[in-house]
This record gives sequence, structure tokens and C-alpha cells, in this order.
Amino acid sequence: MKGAVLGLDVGSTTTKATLFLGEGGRWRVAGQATAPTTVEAPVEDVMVGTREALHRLEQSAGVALLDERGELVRPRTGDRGVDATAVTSSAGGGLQMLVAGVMREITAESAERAALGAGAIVVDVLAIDDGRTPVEKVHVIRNLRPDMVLLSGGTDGGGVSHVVALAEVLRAARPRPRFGEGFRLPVVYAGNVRARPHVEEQLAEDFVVSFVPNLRPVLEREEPGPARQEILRLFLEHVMAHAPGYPRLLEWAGGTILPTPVAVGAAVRHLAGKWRGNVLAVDIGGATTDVFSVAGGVFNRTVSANLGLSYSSPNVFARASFANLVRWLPFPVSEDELRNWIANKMVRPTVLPETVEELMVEHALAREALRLSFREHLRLARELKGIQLQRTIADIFSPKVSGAPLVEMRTVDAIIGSGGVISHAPRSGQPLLMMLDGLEPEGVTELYWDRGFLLPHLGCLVESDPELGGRLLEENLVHLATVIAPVAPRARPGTQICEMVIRRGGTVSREIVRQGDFRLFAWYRGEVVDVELRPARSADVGAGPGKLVRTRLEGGEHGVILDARGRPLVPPEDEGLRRDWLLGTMEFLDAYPAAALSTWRGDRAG
Amino acid sequence: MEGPVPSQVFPELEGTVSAVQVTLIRRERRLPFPGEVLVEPGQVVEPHTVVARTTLVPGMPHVVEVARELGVEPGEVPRYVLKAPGDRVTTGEILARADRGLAGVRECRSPCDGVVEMILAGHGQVLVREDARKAAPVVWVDVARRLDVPPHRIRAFLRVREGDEVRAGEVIAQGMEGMMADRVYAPATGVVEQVDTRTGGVAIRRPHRPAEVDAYLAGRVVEVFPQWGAAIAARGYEVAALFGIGGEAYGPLRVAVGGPEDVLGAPAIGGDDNGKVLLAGSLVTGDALRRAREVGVRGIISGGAHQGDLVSFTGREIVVGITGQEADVTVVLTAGFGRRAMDAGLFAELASHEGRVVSLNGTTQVRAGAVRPEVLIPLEPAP
Repeated sequence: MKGAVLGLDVGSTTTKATLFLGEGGRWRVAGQATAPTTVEAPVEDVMVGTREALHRLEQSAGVALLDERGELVRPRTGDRGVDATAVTSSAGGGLQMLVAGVMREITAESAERAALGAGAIVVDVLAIDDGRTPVEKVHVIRNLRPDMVLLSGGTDGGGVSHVVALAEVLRAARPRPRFGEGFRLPVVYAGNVRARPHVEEQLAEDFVVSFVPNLRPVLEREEPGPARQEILRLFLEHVMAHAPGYPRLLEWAGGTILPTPVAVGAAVRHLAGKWRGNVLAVDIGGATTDVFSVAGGVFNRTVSANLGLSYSSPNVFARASFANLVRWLPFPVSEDELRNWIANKMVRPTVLPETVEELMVEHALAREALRLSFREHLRLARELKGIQLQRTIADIFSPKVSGAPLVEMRTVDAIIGSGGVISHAPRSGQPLLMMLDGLEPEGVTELYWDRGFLLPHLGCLVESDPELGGRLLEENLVHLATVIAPVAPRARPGTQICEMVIRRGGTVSREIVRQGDFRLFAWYRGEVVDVELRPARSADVGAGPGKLVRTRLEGGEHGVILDARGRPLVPPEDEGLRRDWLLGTMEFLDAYPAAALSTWRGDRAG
Repeated sequence: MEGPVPSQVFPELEGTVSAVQVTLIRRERRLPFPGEVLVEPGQVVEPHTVVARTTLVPGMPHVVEVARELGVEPGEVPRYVLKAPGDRVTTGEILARADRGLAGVRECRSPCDGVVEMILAGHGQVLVREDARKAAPVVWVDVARRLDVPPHRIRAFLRVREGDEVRAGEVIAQGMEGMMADRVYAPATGVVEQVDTRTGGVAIRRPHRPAEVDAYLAGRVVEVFPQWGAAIAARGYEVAALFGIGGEAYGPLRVAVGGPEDVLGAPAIGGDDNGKVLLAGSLVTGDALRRAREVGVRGIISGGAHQGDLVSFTGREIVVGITGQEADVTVVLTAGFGRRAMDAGLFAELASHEGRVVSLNGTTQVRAGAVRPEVLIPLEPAP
């Protein structure tokens, strides 16, 4: 098969273009280029940044894609143009939605999940019990300028007063959409069906209201599907069509632009199906960190809207604390310096790190953003709250709590790291460390790196051409390492927590694993090794405390890593020991220039 | 007072807000809910002129399912309703009654104190609008989680009790020395209503106030939006700054430092700065911010400020670059965080308007659809 596929991702700060070329059944990434996204003032035309990215791609890859008028040549004629496109967008901060529900913990949370599942960023969640006055709610709505509103609340046939109250607040606020003056804001109503006439009466004049089935028709059931589909339809037909330059981009895209997180989700689902395992994926952006999981066949996506590395980096600081951030830095820095640097990153989001110190601060922020957003994922990816589960005698002894998490780290088979700070890291040891320290995998886990940020393009392609998209996905993800991480609560450093029996190339060897170990086995790609993990009675390598695990491992670019530094990961308290501990892992994975690392070792010695 | 030295770890930043030109400034001033507009087209207004007012914020609508409760068809509901639209009702007062013969008399009562707003025959419902004054909002603060202490022990860490009045930003609980998140601040002004040792939370009930909008900008009323407000316009300077805290403020400008590189410290702020907007240079210190609050300064325009100082001044973390209501002194930064000199041209331009009433707003949304903080210097009302 021969052809050319253009991947375009119009992000909140940069537009990324990737060209995939296929010849003789083999496909390769022929080139990548980026340009600033131009959806906002002063340019206000997304096509300007898109064409610029394509011009750069033409130059870097030595190909021709555009004609004399700057239009994309499609289908490919001769050596010019492309056969297919895969276009995704999170420009303008993606699809920004305001979500409203009656009870914060029940319908509002269901609505939040539905919006997140549709690829949205939830800018605020309004609820009757959120502690704000109607006046404050009106001010909040007016200030936010969302792209769409999802209004829910009440089970079918239940009380309608509160939903009507929310609709009234919405009408009073009459929020201005971000793009397109004179455009009426879309509202998806997915609440109590009995309140529909009231909602229509309140909102029909100023909004485009669409009614979909209640997403929480009864307390025990959540049905987000229809709301999600309607959100996606309105995103394409309504919001995107009004964003400056998008109608043209939609033509280039053959009518389909997926929100970036929807495409990444499709890629993750595809891989989980192919690998037949539990998969976790993270995408750290400037404004948000998205977490995707497929566990036991159930897909979940959460967006930590305020845990990104530029616009919301001060929130990462605030949530993580100074102490938790500096534990990842091998050099001294004052709280004022760190706070100011991070806040300046917020107001100048496109500035890239210039020094190793700045890069390390970004990576420290990324570790904490991962840690916090994974915790949020666990909070949202759970069974429904607000329901009485039937109890049996056995439950009295092990009560089943309503709202139990659906994902457990020790059952995750593979983790994929994506997003600017991870995908564009200069050395492969850096994404590896960010994922190890930020997510703390447990048991046996394969770690993958989305180098070059291809997941959005390939996820989009998987939707239109599963065979080609799937193949490109597997070929382009970098297997960084397979990690073995025994969990031994309360084990003291140096105590034996596991024994490894290794069968490799006809020989059998044994290794003793002690608490605190961080080791590398040089078993690289293509080599398969059988390993038996025999944990101590209180230690867990994935199957439960003291339970043996037999597994067949294949190493990655960094081989197989044994990470017995402990879970949760707590660096030594002593400042000198902590720095040695940190510099040790950085040197071990060749994550940063040796010269810089030796300076800080020298600093300490001096 | 000498400010802290620039960062030893990170390099200097480029790009600050620089000088501006005279333009037509227009601001729309709208009520949150409909009310009365108090100005006329063409009228010249000062920033403090009240443009529109609404005395009663609508209370919660309660939809009473009369048909269902009485067991009658929706279309029959008007026959059984004892009240007319506009009637006042109290909690528990009978709204509708149906004599069902052998099935007995069924009644339907008002769920709240308020006014009957409509009778919806088609749906068999009656809408009762609750009296807003009876429904003061409550703000819930999860003290146990913020301090990471067991809920039943929160009283040991609280500085307030039930019935105490608190101001927004006041410390209401403090953890032990050395704990990471060691303070909890009141998110709103009000009265402590409840300390719940079961959930570890504190409830603060907030007072009701009528909603008003002022002109904010000295200028001319160029458009009236009936029931909602008006648009004010003036010719003058409009500076879109980088970051700010606090909402709208205005006052006469005073140049409080010698030049764009200078630091504004507490000693440079005196009692006669009450009601004024101060122009600083490269930094406003944390002490100066607190002094400004003490004497009643309305706003400060500065090149830079330490992010940590702004956090301790407002009593809350600055998290996603969305600010606006958190401080009683509005601060607008033109160059960034840390000590950062204001653009010399901008400083000179601003300083040349010393004594003139300026308007400023710290509200910032860094993200897309961005809202930038602003400084407005109206020179004359729009024609």
C-alpha cells in the first residue's frame, strides 16, 4: 500500500503537523512541524497557524502538500498532497463546558463525567448545594464564557424545582460564547423529563436547547451516552463552525474534527483491546492533564482541568505544596523563586525552559501533576454514588462502599505517557522518571512513551481506518521499560522483600530484592525472559500479599527496571541523602547531562 | 526599603506591557438580575455613580406537583387552587384542596414562604417563588480535609465558634507547627452557623445584600439596556496588563515611587493614601500590601510582585490564572512575578496623570478567551 496521511492537531498553544508516508507496505513518520495556534486575537484565524505548520512541514520533510493558493492538495496527485487527514483540536482550551446538576455529588457528578467523556474541559460545576448565591452563580457564568452548557438534575418523575432554578440562573446570566458574536450558546438538557417544558420556556429565547434522555434517569443508573453524542454533534456543527477559520479546516478534514481527548481515548481503547490488558494513559497539556484508563474492559477518562504545566501550573504548586515539588529538584531553590517562576510560566505559557534547572522544574511539576490527576481519576472513575447497595451478612464484615474505584494500579498492565512535556522530552530517561515517580506503578507494568505526540493523530486515524491506525500506533509508541515494583508496606530499607527466579537463554539465576533497591536488567527489546517473583509474606507483586507471580517479560529501550524504592514513594528526609537518592536515579537512567548532575554533587561535597 | 534580589536560579524574562495610546473606552454595566436603571442616555457619570439597582434577588422557584398530590387531571388543577398568581403564602399554607368524595379531602401545601408565581394547567403544577430573604446562602469549608486532621478533632484547631462573625480571608483554623497545609481561611464574610465534628466542616452563613452596579468608569452614558444597565464610554488610555488580583476599583492616582525600577515598601504609604490608586515601580512588597489595606488604598499598579506575597495577602492560592474577587486592594501587574521593572515609557505615561481618577480591575483569565486585568485613564467623556 502506498499513500500519505496528514495528522493535524490544533492545540491550545501550538498546532502540530505530522506526515506519515507509506510505501511497499511500510509506513514511516516522514516529518513533523509545529507553529503557534492562531485561533485568538490578534490573528483570529486558525488556518494561518495551520498553513504555517504545513509550510514548515513541507520544508523539513522535503515534500509538497499545498498548492499555489495555499490549499491542501487532496487526493495526492503525483508527489504533491495527501490521501487522508486525521484532524484533532483542543484550540482555545478545547471544548469548554459549564456543567450544572442539582446535587454536587450525584447528578452534577454524573453530568461532569458525561462532559468529560465527550472530550470537554469542565470550567465549572454548578449545583444547588455548591454554597454560592444565585448572584454569584450569575457572575461566575458570565465570566467563564463556555462553549456549551450541560444541564441535568433530578431523576425522571422526581422533583423539578431545582432544575428550573438552575435554568433561571442560566437565563439571567446569558453567558457570552467565546467565539462568534450573535451566536446562541448551545445547552444540552439531560435532566428530569418532567422539567423539559420549564427549561424550554426559560432558555429557548436566548439559547439553542437540545433535549436528550436523562443521564441519571434513576438513582442507580447512569446513561451518559446520548448526552455525550449530542455534545460531540454540537461541538462539530455549532461550536467549531463558529470558531475563526474552522469551517475551512473542517473542509480539509473531510467534515470531521475530533476533540483531541476523544482521539487519544480512541487510541487507548484500541491498544487495550489489542493487548488484552488494563491500560492507563496520561496526557499532560498546558491547561489540563487527561487520564484515560481501560480496566476490566471499562473505559474512563478524566480531565484535571487545573493541573496543566502552563496556564494552571500555580495550581499544581498549590495542590502539591512546595515541599513535594522541591523533593524532585537536586539544587537549592527558595519558595519565592519557585513560586515566581511557575507564576511567570502561567502568564507566558509559550515560553520554553532555557536551562537544565528550568527543565527540571517542569519535570517536577509534571510528576506532581501526574500524581494528583491520577488521584482525581481514581475519584471519578468509580461506581455511582448516592445509591444504597444491597447488603448481605458478609458485607457487614467487609462493607462494600458505594463509589468504589474502578482502577487499581497493581492491576494496570501498561502505562502510556503523552503530552508536551513528556512527548517532547529531550532524553528518554526523562519521561521514564516522570512516570515512575509521578504514577508509582505497582507489580509488573510496561511503560510506553508517545514520542513526538502522535496519539491524537493516530487515535483519529484508528476511528476511520482501524487497520492502518492500529499498526502505526504500535510501530510508533516507544516501549521505554518494563517495571517490576514490589509493594511492601512498612518494610525497612535493606530488608528482603522479594526473590526473583530468572530463566534466560537456558540458564536459571536468582536475585534477592531489598527494600530501597533501584536496579536495571539489560534485557532489551526482542529478548523474552521468564521471571518468577516470590514476594515476602507482606509484599505484593501484583497478585496480592505473599502471592507468587510468574511472568514473561520483554524489556524496552531502558531494559527491565526493578523499582523497590517503596510505595508510596517517600524520598529520604535528610537533605543530603535525598539529593544523592535523586541524583542516583537521574544518573542511572542518563536522564540529564552528566556535567550538570556532577555540578550538584560537587556543590554538596563542597 | 530594599526589595529582594532577582532570582539566582532562573534567567530573566522578556516581554512586558509597554506604553499605550488614546482610544475610545466603552464598558457595559449590567445587573445580575433585572432591576431599575438609574441613568439616562447622554448623562455624564463618575465611577461611583450607581447605574442600576435591583432590590430583590429572585428566590428559589418551587414547583408543586398539584395534580399528582391531589390525584386529579392536570387540566383540572385551576379549579382546585385556592390562590391566585401574586398571592403571598407561608410554609405549610394550603395551596389547593380537592374533595374526592369517598377518597376524602386532599390538600396540597406550600413548601416555603413566598409568592405564587404561576399556575401551569398544562402540567398540573403551581410555581411558588421563595422569598429570597428567607434563603440566605451557606458556604461550607472542609476544615478537617484541609488540615488533614480527623473530623472529630477540628475544634482543637478552630479559632472561631458558632455565632462568630468572620471576614473573607480571616484565618478560621490553624494546624500544628510544621504541618504542610497549616491554615484555613474564611472564603466569605458572614456568621459561623455550624461546626460539624462528624464531617469536619464549618458552615458560614452569608448576609443578603441588594445588587447594584456602578459606572466604574468616568464618562458618558452612551446606551441604556432597560432593566439591566447601561454602557459608559470615555476617551482615554486603556492598559491591558499581565496579571491582577481584586475586582473593580477606582480613585485618584498617586505616584508612590521615584521611577520604574523602584520598590514600593510600607513606609511610602501614608494615611492620606486612603481611597487612592498608587503607582509602584518594579515591586510592591508584602508589607506594603498589608499597609495599603490598613489605610484603605483602592489599588496598586506595579511592574511585579512576589506570587507568595499575593497569596498570603489574599489568603488563597492563585491557581489557574482566573482571579477577580479575592482582594480588597486591587493589584495590577504589568511585567510579571518577582521584582520586575515596569516599562519606562508606560511608567512615565501613567505618572503624567497623577491626581486624575483612574479605574482598574485585577480580574484575569490567562486561558483562551482571555480576560486581561486593566488600568483605564479616562480623559474626557465620549462625545
